[in-house]
Amino acid sequence: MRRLLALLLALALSGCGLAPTGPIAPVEPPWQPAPPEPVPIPVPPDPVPVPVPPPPPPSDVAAALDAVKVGMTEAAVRDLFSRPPVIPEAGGVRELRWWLSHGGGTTMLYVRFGTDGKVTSRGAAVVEEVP
Amino acid sequence: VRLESAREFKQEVAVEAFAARVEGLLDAAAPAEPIVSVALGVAPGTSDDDFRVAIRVPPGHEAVAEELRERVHGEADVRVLTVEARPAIPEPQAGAPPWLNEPRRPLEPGAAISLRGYGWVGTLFGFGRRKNGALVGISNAHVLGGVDRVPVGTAVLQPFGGEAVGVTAEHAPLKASGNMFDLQLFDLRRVPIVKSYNHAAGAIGRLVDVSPDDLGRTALKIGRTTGVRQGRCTAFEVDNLPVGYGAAGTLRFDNQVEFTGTPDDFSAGGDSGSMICWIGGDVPAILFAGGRSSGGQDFTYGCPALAGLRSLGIALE
Repeated sequence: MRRLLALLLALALSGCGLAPTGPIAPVEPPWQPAPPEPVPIPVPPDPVPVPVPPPPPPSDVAAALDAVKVGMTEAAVRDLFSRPPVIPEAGGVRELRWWLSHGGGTTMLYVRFGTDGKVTSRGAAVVEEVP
Repeated sequence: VRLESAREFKQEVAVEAFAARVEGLLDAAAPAEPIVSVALGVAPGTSDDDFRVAIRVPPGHEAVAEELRERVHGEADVRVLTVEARPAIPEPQAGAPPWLNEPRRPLEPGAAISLRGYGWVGTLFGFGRRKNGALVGISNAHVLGGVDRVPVGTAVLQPFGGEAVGVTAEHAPLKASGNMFDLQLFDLRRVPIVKSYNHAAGAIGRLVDVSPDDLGRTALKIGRTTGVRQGRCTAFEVDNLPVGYGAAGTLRFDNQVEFTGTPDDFSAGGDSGSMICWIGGDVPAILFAGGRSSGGQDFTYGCPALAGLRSLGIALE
């Protein structure tokens, strides 16, 4: 009796009906239609983005990105730069980095390699100085 | 089973567990019903439109797991494991990548962070921007707040014992049950950061919800203990997940995402706060907990990043 009372109270508090208890067949379970989807938890709307335009890529960053081609070898990529790269050692793919300072700040140029040692992707990430 | 059937079964068991809790409140002398300890989610089946009920129970509750499996005619993925917040651990340990445990300027996701006056270390998820334009760092509440042990305004250091890079700020509240996020911010101070990038994926994409199509999908994470690791999504919509927080007790989480590493463990203690992303850079989750199943397999849990950062009014940078 106490269990029945608890079940009824739980149903009343949770505001949902007791789901049907038929067996589940592997393909087409002969169940009643599912209860309504749970009401999604309301979330605030997307934060209004504050326009913080990154510095425009200076010509040397754009030129460096353009010079690195997918499929190049690591040696060929290194030959494009006058400085040795920084190489993060944290597992994952092999990556070479160069820091390019310019009037608009600093940009990190990164080149990523596949297991065959050839460039698979490259990109530039903006560095922002937090005051 | 169909996705709707798996969800329906979860709802059915949730009602039974709620009833058991009410019964416990009515009669404190009544023995605890094992069903309240069961976490249920949705796991992949044998095809794109076939699913399993993910049943996760702590050791000692195998019987209730088996009972639930029988109720779904075996259409279940059962794991016996104890889930704990990936402990924020004291010092860099053997094997931890120096790259993430040395001073990193500019700061980048995956770097080790700690607190002035506290002896643990966790991982920097990444960066966000407030509506007023201010930049923040992001990690777990148990890393930056020690589950309500650390006052707001405490200096955040990078790496462990290093220079201050900000001060702790607000977090998603943690309570006994019904949690969705283990998430806290810190206000960045006088430090360069590299934006829209992590070493696991390269360019970071968008914050995204997890959908049924993501089950089995390859994921990457970068954390200060195990560095970059690859895994796959093994369950989503995991509800009533009990997570041990040491002295703070066991807290229950809903709508969590589960991953397992391939071939190595996906994470370990100290990786708390790591960004979890899909191949391609979109970000579904913030790593916060894990455990090893009775079969020896490591499971890692992430809370939904999109909803979590939205709840704090933060846009990903």
